[in-house]
Amino acid sequence: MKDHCHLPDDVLVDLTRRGQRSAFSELVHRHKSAVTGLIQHKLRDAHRTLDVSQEVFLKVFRNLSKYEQRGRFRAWVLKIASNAAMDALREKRPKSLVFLEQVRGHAPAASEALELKERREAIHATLDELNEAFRVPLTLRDIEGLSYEEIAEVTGLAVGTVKSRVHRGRERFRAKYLVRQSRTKPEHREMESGGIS
Amino acid sequence: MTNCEHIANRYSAYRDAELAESERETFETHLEGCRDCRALVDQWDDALADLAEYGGFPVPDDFEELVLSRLAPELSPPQRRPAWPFVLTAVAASLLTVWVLQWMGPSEEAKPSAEHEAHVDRVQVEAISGEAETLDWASGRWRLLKPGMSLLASSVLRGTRETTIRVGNNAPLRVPAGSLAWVGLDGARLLGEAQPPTVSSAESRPLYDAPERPELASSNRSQDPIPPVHPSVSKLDIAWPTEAVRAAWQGSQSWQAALVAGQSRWWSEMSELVGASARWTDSVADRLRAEMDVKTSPVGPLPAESVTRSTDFPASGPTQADIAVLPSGDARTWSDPRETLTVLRRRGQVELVTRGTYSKRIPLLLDILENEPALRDLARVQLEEILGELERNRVYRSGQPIPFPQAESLGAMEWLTDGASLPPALQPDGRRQEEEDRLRRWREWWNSNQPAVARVEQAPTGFF
Repeated sequence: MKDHCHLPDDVLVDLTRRGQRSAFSELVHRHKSAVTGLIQHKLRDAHRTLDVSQEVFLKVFRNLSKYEQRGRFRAWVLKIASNAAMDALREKRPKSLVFLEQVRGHAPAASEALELKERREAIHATLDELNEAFRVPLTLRDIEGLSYEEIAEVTGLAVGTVKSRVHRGRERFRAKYLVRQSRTKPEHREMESGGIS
Repeated sequence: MTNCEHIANRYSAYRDAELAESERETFETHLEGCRDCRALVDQWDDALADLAEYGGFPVPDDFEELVLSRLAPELSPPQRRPAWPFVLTAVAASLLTVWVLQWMGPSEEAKPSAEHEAHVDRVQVEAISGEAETLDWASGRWRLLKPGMSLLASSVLRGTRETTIRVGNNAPLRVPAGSLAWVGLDGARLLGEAQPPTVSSAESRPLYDAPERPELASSNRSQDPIPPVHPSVSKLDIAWPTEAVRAAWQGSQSWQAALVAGQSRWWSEMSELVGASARWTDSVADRLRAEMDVKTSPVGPLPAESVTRSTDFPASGPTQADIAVLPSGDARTWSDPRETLTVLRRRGQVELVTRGTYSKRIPLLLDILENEPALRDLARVQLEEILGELERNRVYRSGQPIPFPQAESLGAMEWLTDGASLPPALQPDGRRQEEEDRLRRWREWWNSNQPAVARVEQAPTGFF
């Protein structure tokens, strides 16, 4: 995999088609964060996110022959992930209550664990408060680093709409996150209003 | 005049470096004088920094293995990729020539029997990367060498049932049986090889026998002889000829060997074309590097976390562009709405690299030429490069016309080269006329300004 880390996605796709297992492993490694992130922000269920994410990559592998939008592999994968998440939502399975740290399979050191856990929970709780229409474009942009064009392709929205939703998502996230912080940290309370007076 | 409400409304554009320089300066001037807005932007930045750092989904370390284990039954063992060094290829080509000459000579017994002759079921030609970039792996690392592509060689495969050509984002084009199979030599390669013979020799068509090309014979090129195969050819993955050479090298009389033998003159011709193309490419690249002190850009996206706002874009500033500058201030990307990427790298000089087919690159370069004075010279150089490449293709196509047996395939080459003869069913939505108009305007501008870098009268008019 080490040799593949500098190769562009399309070359890795070609190598995968030629049967190179390590090339596909690199593709999974490269895009697993974006795929799981997208699915998690739709499902809000850590265990199901992992299951669905694995299914997404199986589907990606089995459909590589249909990948024709050269140069846009990430958007293609995320589109598959988005559809898979929608399918999973339709199944209406009970939500499993599992903390992300449990999914990760190890616990951080006690001294830093608390703050890290609090911060992470605050972020995810704030994201939970956002409407999906804003949450998904926001996380794709500001966590996964997708371009507006890629987000538009994944979500099926116009680029202008994506920009608008990202902006509004940022504003709502900032305000809600600040409120959440001020509940636990009094020093933030004075900035709670957050807006321009 | 920027007020506080404007700051709140334009924060995202500011963060994404989408503000024009003048607006950005106004934005920042307001921030310097407005404590509330400064605090707001700081809050925003802090919140989004936390989001980026803690908002991701923690993926287990063994996630890849979990996926691969579920795919184990479907994943075939790694195939040995033909990684033929250039030297071996050149040697093999030389020996092949000798072998072919012997084979095609008067000695009939040297020829393979009909039962062993070539029948190819399916051939697929595909660009190796999106938008037909030229990549170099000879150095052990992939680098973007030169955008664009050229298709310089052709072949007719006896008994070929289907040939599919796909370049970049274009839809696959199926070439009828027995017609031309184009091999892109710039970043393209033949995929899938050919299937084992499935057509009886009685049904197969005669192999296309390439005509004599006296103008390409080395004895007729006393001036500036072109080496049979230029060393730079190592950057091209010509999988099919290489495989065929290997078959010939091994003395096999398989369908692969017969295929090459039947096109021996084509192979010779292709070597000439490759050599000429590589030589030309090198000379242009060397000149560009010398003039602009450019550094080759690594292939791959800029790391999102390293991106910050633009601080030193040319005063004119690109319009409708996403601009990103690395913290060091030495690189930026510029994505235009047509998704033809331009990378500008500032190391005392500016590098301008466009990727994509000619039909995408030309309009973008014209945009720059017309609207971006600071980048005009660089756009002009690239246009010159494209014109030169088209001119070269034209020379080999019509200077001494190659008698292609299938007119449809000739159209296919034009399509792949510049979109000129795209079949009606595949034509994009009316953009061709727009591009023609733009090119015409550019030609007028070019002639009226008498640029020193190119002579537009040499542009291949038939290509647009």
